[in-house]
Amino acid sequence: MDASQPCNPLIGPSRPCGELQAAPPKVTVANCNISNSPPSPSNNAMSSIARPPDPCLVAVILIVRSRTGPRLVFHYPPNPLSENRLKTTTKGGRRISRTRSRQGTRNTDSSSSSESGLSSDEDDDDRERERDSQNQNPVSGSSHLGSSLVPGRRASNFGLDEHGVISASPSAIEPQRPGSLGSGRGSTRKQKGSTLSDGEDDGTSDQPDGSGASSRAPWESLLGLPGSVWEKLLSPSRSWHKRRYEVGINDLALIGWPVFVREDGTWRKQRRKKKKKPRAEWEGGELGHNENAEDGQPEDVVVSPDMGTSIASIADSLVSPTDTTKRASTVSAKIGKSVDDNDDPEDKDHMTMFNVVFVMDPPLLEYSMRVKEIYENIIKKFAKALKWEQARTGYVWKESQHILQVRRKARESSEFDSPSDSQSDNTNYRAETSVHNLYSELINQSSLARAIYTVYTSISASKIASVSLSADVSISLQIPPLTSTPYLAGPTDKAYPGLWLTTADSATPIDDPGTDENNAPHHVLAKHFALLLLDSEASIIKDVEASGGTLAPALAHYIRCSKPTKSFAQISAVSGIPLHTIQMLASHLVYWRRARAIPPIHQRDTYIVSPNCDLSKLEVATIAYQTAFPTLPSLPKMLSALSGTPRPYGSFIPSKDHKETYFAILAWLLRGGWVTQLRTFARIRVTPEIKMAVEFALRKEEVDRYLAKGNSNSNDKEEDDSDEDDEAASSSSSSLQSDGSGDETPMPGRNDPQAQLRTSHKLLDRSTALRYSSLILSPHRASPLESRWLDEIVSRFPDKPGPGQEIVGMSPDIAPKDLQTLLKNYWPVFLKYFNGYDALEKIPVRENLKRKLVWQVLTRLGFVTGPLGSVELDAREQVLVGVRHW
Amino acid sequence: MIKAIFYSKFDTQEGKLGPSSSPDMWEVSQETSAGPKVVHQVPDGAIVPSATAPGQPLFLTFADVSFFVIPRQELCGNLLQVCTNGYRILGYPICMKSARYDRNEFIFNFCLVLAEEDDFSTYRSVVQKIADLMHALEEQNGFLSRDFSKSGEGKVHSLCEMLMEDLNNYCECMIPIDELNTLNIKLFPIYPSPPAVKSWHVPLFTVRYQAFMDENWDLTLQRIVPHINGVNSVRIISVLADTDFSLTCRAIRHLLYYGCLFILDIFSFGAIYAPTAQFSTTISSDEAMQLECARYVNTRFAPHSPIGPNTPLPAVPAAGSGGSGGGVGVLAGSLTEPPASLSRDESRFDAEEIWPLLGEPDDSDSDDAAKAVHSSTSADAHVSPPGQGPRVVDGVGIVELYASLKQGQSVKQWYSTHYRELANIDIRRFITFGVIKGFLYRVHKYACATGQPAPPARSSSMLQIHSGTGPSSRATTGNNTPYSASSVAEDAPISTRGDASRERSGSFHGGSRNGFGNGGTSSGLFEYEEDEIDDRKLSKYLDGTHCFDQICTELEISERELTARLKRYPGEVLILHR
Repeated sequence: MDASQPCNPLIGPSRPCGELQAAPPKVTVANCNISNSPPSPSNNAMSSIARPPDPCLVAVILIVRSRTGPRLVFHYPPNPLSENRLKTTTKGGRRISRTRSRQGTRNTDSSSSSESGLSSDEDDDDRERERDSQNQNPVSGSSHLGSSLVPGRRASNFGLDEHGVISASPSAIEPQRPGSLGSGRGSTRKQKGSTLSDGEDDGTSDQPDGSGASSRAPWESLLGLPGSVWEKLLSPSRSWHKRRYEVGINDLALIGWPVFVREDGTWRKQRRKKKKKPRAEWEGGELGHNENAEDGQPEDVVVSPDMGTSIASIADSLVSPTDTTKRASTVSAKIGKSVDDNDDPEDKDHMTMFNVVFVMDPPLLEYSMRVKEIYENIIKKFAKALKWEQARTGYVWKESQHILQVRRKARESSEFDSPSDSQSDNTNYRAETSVHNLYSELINQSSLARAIYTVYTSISASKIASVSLSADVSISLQIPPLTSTPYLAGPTDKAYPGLWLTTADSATPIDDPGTDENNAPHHVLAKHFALLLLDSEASIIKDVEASGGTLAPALAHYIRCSKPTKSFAQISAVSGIPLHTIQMLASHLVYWRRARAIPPIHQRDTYIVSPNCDLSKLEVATIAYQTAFPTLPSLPKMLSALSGTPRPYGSFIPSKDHKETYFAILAWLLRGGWVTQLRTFARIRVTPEIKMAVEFALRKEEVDRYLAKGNSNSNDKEEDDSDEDDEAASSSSSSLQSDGSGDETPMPGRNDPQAQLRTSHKLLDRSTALRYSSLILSPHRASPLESRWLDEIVSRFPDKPGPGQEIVGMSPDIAPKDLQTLLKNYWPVFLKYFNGYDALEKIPVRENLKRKLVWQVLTRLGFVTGPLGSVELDAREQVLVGVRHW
Repeated sequence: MIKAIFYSKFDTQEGKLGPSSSPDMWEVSQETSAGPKVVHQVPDGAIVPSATAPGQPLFLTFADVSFFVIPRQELCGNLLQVCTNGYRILGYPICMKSARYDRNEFIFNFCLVLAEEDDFSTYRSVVQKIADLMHALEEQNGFLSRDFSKSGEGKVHSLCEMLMEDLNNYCECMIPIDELNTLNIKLFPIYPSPPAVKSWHVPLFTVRYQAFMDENWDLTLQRIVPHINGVNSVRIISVLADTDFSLTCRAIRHLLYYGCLFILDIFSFGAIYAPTAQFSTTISSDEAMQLECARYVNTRFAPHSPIGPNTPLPAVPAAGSGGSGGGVGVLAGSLTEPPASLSRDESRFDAEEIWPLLGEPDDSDSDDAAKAVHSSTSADAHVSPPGQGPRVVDGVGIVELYASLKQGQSVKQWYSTHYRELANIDIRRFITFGVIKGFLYRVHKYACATGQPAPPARSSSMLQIHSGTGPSSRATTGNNTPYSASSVAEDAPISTRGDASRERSGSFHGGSRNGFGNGGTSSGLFEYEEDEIDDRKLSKYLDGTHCFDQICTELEISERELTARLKRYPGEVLILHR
């Protein structure tokens, strides 16, 4: 039997895992280590929410095509998928753990072990082996499968992703596969030799700049294939002009957005010769672009806060030995001249196409999501920026020629000083250093190479890439991170610990039911949210001011005014900045990972330790916390205090003097995803009593109507009855009649009419539903019958405390009598929030009411947050079924 | 869904395709030059124009992708794909070198064409498999190179035809090629890699394993499955089944991969559960789920009584789970069968009986008093006024019960508030149901040693000081500190394992509070325990990343014992709930 069998009889569990799976994947996440931001004390805290980046980016390749053919101009990193990349780009993130788990797989480890371990047991049971081989093919001739197809990084799936084919017919002979190219690091390394030598035969002769075929410079092959193969593969036909060009080689996906020269030899349609137009077509770039230098439209241009990005620092961080850099730059100066001297055929050549190709190795199950993510956010925007620059100044072609020039030079010199007889170790070493030198030289000299380098390093670390192509044009790119999720991962789900767990989504319309801005663009933040800065105010302001930019003063001013305890609307009222501007500035900060929109912090709100907090960061965070709040209870203490029965945050604040500090602590905790707000949701319960009363009233109306009509056509009555009944139910959403029925509501005599009604066959049918309570799911869209129920409920609110119910513990502020009227007054206001989706915490913020008052009303309505003490509540008012979650 | 399959090869002959090919099939450019050619295509005319199917619109321009279908040698032997025109082409070009071929090589590729946005992961291996098989066949007897049949005819073409038809219709195929070779392909969905299984996880079947298990199964699997019942943790399962622990984990992971299992937590009355954000969309608004829940938790339908035709009872050995264990079959039934079947199969009267009955009120309790004391009970008290038959916990009652679970409140405390409603409800199943459906989550406890000296008073003293300014309403609970919430633990998670004396010791610990010193207690019991768990061993678990379930399972102690032990730990230990 094969073990796949179990899945056939499976009927999927009815757990709503569709949602569960749909939501989390969009993840590259709240990485708040904003690139290039100066290290500040709170950065430690930041690191506690930075999640392992995983854009699956392997390399970035630039291909241009001219009359002489396609050229692989530049790619970064120099040796993609080699181990040294692993060292440089991962900081203890998931990649390492992946590789580790791969090794674990091989080593037959205990709980993290894979099925292959099962089969590698001494157990000679053929059946078991067969089972295993059908799962994963680990036994039957799978050595090559494992190496070439099952990619190393996905071996954490323990090969289960290679499920397709399986039982090979016994006679099928496993053919010898040529060395294949895979993203598996091990396999690539293993097979690189063979592929390389394959390519050696004919590859180099095609190499346009390959004069000596025997000694190819180490950078001319990529991922084990000679450059010429890539040139062919990645320079598609014109049908891909400005379209997604996607090819795949084993586990690698190569995605580009090729741009072709127009028929007339230009790169842009020559409409009105206005210089400012093209910028308008950079959709998506509006937040990222910062063409501060030449821009005359202050309103439209938004400066990214981290524009302070100094290229110098990038370059510095890149090249470790600084003297090499200097040497390289002096060399390049010479080369720069020689470009002019050299009378290349390329001088008169023209570029016909360029294609920036991003190489990725996405996990199979996330393939399309990852590809889309990077294509929409990075590839397209980057290529568009290049196209614009190309159209403007011939940038891409100029830079490409420059890069090729430098490469040619480096090649000549490497040929020159590499004697053929040297030992292999030696040449390897030399090759490495020469590659290193070449790259640092390229990155120093060519802004395009530097741009590609920046994009690669930043994006693969899930950071924001701030790229400047020239003095005039710079662009910021990022894959927008996931900032919050309402879904708590179970033990079998993929978890993103540290991610803010909440249903408070600042952008969704449901969070703003009362306003008309629902159809506003997605990035307009709800006005009842507040801004939580993700870094210290000072450091953000510093960055903003460093970036210059037209928006900088406004941003700085706003950041100074902003408080996490005040909503945008409130800040606007206090500071005088128009709400619209605040929303724009805030969403800018949010988009560029400097802040987060949260429901305003309030001491009456309740916060709990987030079930999604990342306890593995506890140690680090404790230290950071200690630095930030040296004299206050430690982080574990604070979390421990918040661990008990939820209660309002105010109860943790020892005195009024501590209020500000404790709010700062709370902000800190929220920022790091340590705590989350416990929000309250409620629905209205309709008891059988209410239902019966309404039913009775409806019947009575019917009878009255019937009597009014006279008994002319009494025969038809029986049939009409049922129709009329429904109509009556559906038409009478107004509360007109409810008063009448409400009068009847009171006590015991009511059972008699009920007993009579029960005899009606009509009612018997419905009696099942009538005998049980139900919830009104969306009161603001109540059905006619539900409206009747609601009216009935309201009508039953006692005008004065019921007999025998002493109001003992009511708050002294509001007399009980006031509260009764309050209840009736606010019921219509509150009603729309009782839908199970809108947090009741929104009511005071949105309706601009005192929290105390709101909660008193809600408590009367049956939402009991804590023990009642001696407060006796009237059952007639207890109509809410409340639940609290994040 | 495969849109098309085509077989392409590098044609070395100029001007003609082969002895028997009819020239009118091909457009002129294809005829005249050497290069990639499409030999067979299904459907006809999908890839290159065909005279026999003039009406067929072309899916794509073959010239755009030919460089990739028949690529340079270096790329042969790799799985290649390219997207064009809304289609994704998967291919696995093979290059064979031999003197018997023109130009000494033969390059071919069987390509699948899929819609670009479709999931292609399952087809990757199909393409590879075909390539392997064709490679072998070609090696054996020149299966491809000697196939001179016309386009649209011959063995290779019918192979493509059958392949596409079978895979699209049946997700598998078995195509005999000759007396030795058969093409067997089955499409498997690809699932995400299951998470690592931990010793404190509690697996629960989503299916009735009896239905598909047979004697050919893996031996470990065969031994462990009877012990998987939603109560036993993985560690206990491995003990009960007498299987190696790591093998047990692997076997369970295997079942997990195929979605046969849920992973739950160790249920105990000291555990804390609270609603998740899915609450409003699931149990609170889904009346079918409320019915399903009632059916699952109502003790009236407990496994020992007949519960309907759809859920025959499995013969599950009761594995030390008390009265509530062994309900695997029922769960499987009620979770997988749509509750709609209830109303269909059974009369309305039965459907009404699904709701669990309310418990009898206490002797002294009049209705009014009950209403007053348990405010949330009032709804249920209203369910049917006196004299109208049995009073039940209806759908809303169930929602309210779930909603009243909250952070900082153990199941035991919750039960004591709601014992009337819960009188006829299996509490473990009630909780489990919520966890399975995802609207409840377990609040785990973590211990964190701060390195500070142990405070003279309870570790929650700070909290109590602060709470002085808190709302007065807190006064009555007194159970809102992490310590007190966790000290009510009743069931040892590993009760079947722990020896009897230790079990009994639980009550002793709970009653008495010890000093913080290490030794020097007069009780022999403590010494015995301290032998078992020294501080160093314990301190490994006190970094805040190990939940109580884990610590208890790995140290084989009950939660109560752990709590007591933590109080004796030299140094401050804070307890976090998460």
